[in-house]
Amino acid sequence: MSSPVLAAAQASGAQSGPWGDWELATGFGYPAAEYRAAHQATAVHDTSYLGRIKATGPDVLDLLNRLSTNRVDPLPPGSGAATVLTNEKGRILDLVYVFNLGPYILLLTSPGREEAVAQWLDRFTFIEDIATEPITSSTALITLAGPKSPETLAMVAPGLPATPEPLQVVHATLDGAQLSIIRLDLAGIPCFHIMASVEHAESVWNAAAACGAVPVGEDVWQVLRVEAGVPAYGKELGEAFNPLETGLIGGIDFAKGCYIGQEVIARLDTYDKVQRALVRLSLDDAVPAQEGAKLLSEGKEVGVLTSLARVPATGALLGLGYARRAAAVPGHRLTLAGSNVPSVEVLDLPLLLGEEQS
Amino acid sequence: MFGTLRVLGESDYMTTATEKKPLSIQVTPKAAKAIRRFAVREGHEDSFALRVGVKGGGCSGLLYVLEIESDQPADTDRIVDDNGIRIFIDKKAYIFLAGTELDFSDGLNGKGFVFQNPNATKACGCGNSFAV
Repeated sequence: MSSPVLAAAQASGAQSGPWGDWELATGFGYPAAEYRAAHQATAVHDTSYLGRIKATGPDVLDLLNRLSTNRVDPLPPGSGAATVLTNEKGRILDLVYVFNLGPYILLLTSPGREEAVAQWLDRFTFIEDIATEPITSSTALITLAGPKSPETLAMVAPGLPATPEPLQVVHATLDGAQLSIIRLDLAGIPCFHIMASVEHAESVWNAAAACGAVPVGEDVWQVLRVEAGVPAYGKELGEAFNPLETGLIGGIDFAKGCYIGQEVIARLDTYDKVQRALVRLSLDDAVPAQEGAKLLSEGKEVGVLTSLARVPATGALLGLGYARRAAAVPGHRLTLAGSNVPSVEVLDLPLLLGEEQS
Repeated sequence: MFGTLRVLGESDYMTTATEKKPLSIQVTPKAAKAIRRFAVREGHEDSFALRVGVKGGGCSGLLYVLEIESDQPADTDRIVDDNGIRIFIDKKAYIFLAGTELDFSDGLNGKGFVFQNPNATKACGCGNSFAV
């Protein structure tokens, strides 16, 4: 699928390439400047590949609450929540952000996961009044990211009553186009995801660029993701993992009652049976690394490297991976399989959704 | 999850309003007594039906639903009578429930209504949720 803003991005100097099922802007020729914009000013990034499902009907939130780890019912209009759909074994189907847009509920899924999520909801819909419609291809998602992004947003969408807080959604208009603006930060970086219909996507992109936002391609966006410790579906998220291993404990409500997988997840937590943890890693260049490489400690396999990214401004090599809990300790050094040099250091255990809910 | 589910033939289904067949839903005398007690408590003296259904959720994927209703079936309902209880089951739920026996467990450690469901391949610890 080609992104609805690809042509506009190419007009801004983008190189394009495939990314999953998408053809999109991979970079704009100045990765260090792209990276700095996200950390120091405002970046604009095409995030249209995130899955989007429009869910309508009075029972949507009730069903989601019964099927996923977090409490999402009630969810007042204008607010959102992160929740994890798990199977009966407590394994991850996807991390889903649920937003109440007023007329409907928007589900943001991982790239390419909207069909699987919609099918999973349909499978458990019996008596409920619910309709789901994937809207990924009929809409665009354009993200403003960076410490100055609130100011840029105010210029792109004048008339906003207030800057949305994290996990809030507000509505705005731009030249007659209806926009929904979703605040979903990337670790400490404020991020505003502007959802518009495909027809209005280019005008949003162009307005952001005209307001000084620096276009950022997918290559640098992935560096920001790894740096922020955000797990990606197919690498750190999927049915091989449960949400406790993946650091998603902040998206689990242990008091809300049953949901699919609850018994397994509660048991893992209560009896302290979580075997491994998502870790953020720093690698040195002494040993060549690649995603999928095994991680060793004292000669024994203790984990795997799942994502790798080189920070353009500094040249630092960062990674994400899974390590057995004894090895998942900040400061602990690991070796890559085939080497004796402890070239990998555990930085920390990222918690995307924060600490356990109290 | 649905791999072991047997495809039901026409003969497995209820074809007339109150016929009882081996794959219908059964209610033990103890459960029937409890259902009547709940019906009276909810203000239904004579004319009521028990709706047995499923919905998504619970630890294992599907949850049982029990409701006392006035005696007005929907077009999509199958209707069963057992031990004096009239039962409505939506067709979509029926394939998950055919052959189920509904019992009632009372006493200090009683669990309330207990489902013996031959379609369930897994159940959660409390027995309220199941997978087929």
